[in-house]
Amino acid sequence: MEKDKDLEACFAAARTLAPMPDRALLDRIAAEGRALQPLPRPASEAKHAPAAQRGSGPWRAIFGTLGGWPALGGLMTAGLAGLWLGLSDTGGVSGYVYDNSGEGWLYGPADIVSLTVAEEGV
Amino acid sequence: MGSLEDISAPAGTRAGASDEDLLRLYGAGDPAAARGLTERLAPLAYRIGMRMLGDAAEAEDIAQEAMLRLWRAAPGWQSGGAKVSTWLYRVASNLATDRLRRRRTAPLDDAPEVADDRPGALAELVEADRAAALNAALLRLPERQRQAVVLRHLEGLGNPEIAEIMEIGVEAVESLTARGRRALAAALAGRREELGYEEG
Repeated sequence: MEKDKDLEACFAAARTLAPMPDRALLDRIAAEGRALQPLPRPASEAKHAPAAQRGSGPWRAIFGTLGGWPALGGLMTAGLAGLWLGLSDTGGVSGYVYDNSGEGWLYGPADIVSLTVAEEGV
Repeated sequence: MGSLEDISAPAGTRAGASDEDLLRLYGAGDPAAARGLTERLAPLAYRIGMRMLGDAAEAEDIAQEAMLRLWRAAPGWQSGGAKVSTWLYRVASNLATDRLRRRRTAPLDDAPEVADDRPGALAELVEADRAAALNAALLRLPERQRQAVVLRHLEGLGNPEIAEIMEIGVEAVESLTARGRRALAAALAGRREELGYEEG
């Protein structure tokens, strides 16, 4: 127990007289830190940084390459417009495939395929 | 942890900001953050260097190298990982251990002595002698015991944090500190009178 008390007193003395770096060293370290520091970000960029950093990985990279949400909106609009044009030409999927009571078949690519099949008797 | 907005005052006035906050500010280019981090963390690395190696020049090298690694790690710092201070303790301890292993000599007779001739400074001298005796005895411990004792009894860290720094289990930390304490007590036992302890 006596030894423990003595040891604790030595620990306390060593804590009180802890070695401290001199001012010149701290100045050198801080200067080095400034030299290696990234450049300040503009305020607007810093404000939006958390949103910009959300998510990562290959899908986000592909998404970014395509142009993000605005480009994807354009792609979706174009796709839907094409689908509408295709379906509206014959009045719908069922008429396009099965309606053979009309005068002609030259309505679209599917009709050409059907005609070819009929002529060749396959 | 504060956001960038709520700690936007100059770093020198951010007494309540955590080390992690300061590091994020440093990464964002805050001009005062480097100074704030240096004032807080460089002394920590320097103390580890001094207590592990007993040499001021080497301790300065360790403080500078550890802080250099911090500057480089700052831009990609992950706040979900270790505390900044824990990380720096680990870096400084590893740097000191590397130097010890390169030395491979135990400076038994080269322990620093404290000389203070100021008149009327008896109490301070006793205190200084005790600190010097402890530091000298520390330098004679095996490096892992020394590291554990320094972190536990001089830096005041808890065993779980020491375990994280030394990358060992908590039980191993307890074992190292217990063995280190016993060795230190034995080393200092012969100097009781010299260190101002009453015989009894």
